[in-house]
Amino acid sequence: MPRDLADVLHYFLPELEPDARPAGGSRLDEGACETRGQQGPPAQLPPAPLSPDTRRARPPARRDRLRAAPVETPPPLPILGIPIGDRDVVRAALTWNLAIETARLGAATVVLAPALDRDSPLWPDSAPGPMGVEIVYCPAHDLGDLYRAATDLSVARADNAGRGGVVFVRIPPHWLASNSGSPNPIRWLLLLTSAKGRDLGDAYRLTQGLLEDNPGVEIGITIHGVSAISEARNAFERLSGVVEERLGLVLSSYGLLVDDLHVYRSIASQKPIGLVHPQAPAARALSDVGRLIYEDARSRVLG
Amino acid sequence: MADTTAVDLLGVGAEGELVALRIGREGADAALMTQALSDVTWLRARVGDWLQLAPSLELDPNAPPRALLLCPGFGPETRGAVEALSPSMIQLIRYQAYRHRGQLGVLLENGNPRVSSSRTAVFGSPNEGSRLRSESAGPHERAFPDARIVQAAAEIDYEVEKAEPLPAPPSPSTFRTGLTDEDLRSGEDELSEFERGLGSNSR
Repeated sequence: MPRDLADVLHYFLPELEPDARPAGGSRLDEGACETRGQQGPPAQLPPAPLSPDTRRARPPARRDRLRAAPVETPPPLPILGIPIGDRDVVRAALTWNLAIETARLGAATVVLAPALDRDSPLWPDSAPGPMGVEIVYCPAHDLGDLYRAATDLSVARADNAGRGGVVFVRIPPHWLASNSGSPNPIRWLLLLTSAKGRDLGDAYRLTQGLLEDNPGVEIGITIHGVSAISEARNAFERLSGVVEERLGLVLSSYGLLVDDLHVYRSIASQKPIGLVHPQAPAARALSDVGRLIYEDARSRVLG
Repeated sequence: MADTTAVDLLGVGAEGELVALRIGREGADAALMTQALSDVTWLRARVGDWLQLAPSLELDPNAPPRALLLCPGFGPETRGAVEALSPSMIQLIRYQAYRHRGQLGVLLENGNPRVSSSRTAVFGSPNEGSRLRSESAGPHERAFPDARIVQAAAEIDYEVEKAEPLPAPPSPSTFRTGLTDEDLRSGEDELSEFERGLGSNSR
């Protein structure tokens, strides 16, 4: 039974094309993920709505009423890219916790990472963890490979995503640099930055590079490592003001995160903060940012 | 869709009936009532089209369409008008926004004159999934909006804050957060745990 407009939107706007197109074959690590493989023929469009005049002039033919129901193709899950360094366990932990928080809200969430992360300390076990959130590794060597794998995953997981979902993708920052000059296929990105001037400067330069590679990119900012809302707000406004003035891009705000003791415990224990310490400020902040991400992900489907 | 003004939300009820939902501010209930009646008429004439457009919606062609009105309150004329209609055609729901630990939520309450006001459905943040709790079940409970819901008011330790008008225009800042500074303060249990940790480390 449809739950909101997203579930019936495609009946009224069949010309809408999903952001991600299914690739011809799976590039994903066979042992680490699931995929639907080749896509079938396109779904049959429903017949056009009958205007009152048409109804009066020509009653529906009997064969119309007996036509088989059109095959429903759910829209693929939105793909959210997050630049995370090879040894950046803090950002990886925050990303993993954010994935769990969106899953708690009802999203079908998965984290996609390059296969080179498999032996790194960035992620917990790849098996479905809390709330069914999985870390999926793909044999990607560049941004293009990563995007194709993310596309496959977003289509594969859409079937069971009755309430939407998100594919979180860890992007090695040096892949963004090496991709410079080629269009960046990942169009929705989240930058995690602290409120320190140097980190805001890094975020600005990264934004500049992303915008050059893809003028249509959407970049969100989450300020982490703060202890007061005003601190996060001031940092975001400083960064967004400069970006808008010099680059003409409007950044999206995705709130703030708290780097307290629980974040580091979460890294060491590989247990999500929101489930182990739900009353901690870090957990509340993660829940809030997860909500913002989930709402925006849903809005991409609802239009 | 609808005759002149767009329906806010269109859904399918538990009985396979089309349900039009309209949301209004304080004082808009009379106008919404007129629109809702128009919506029901408009939908009734188009059930056949919907069956053909979207057969997988599992519409019941014999289930009459109905409407839900959400308003902070309903005047006596609106409630009187509903009483004159068939029982399930128009359902009135009072709503009130609240904030709990940084999470926005909506409290919904049946506003139909025939329904006891003691029946209260609590809806938390629309992004949290949960189940409906109400003090008494009735024929409308199953057909209640398909909104996402949280724990019943009796099980949540919170205070409902009545929404008050903003004293000043909203800030032009585009920074988003549902948190308050209170949310970022460690509670007593957190501090106690920290002190306990210090004490164990000092041995």
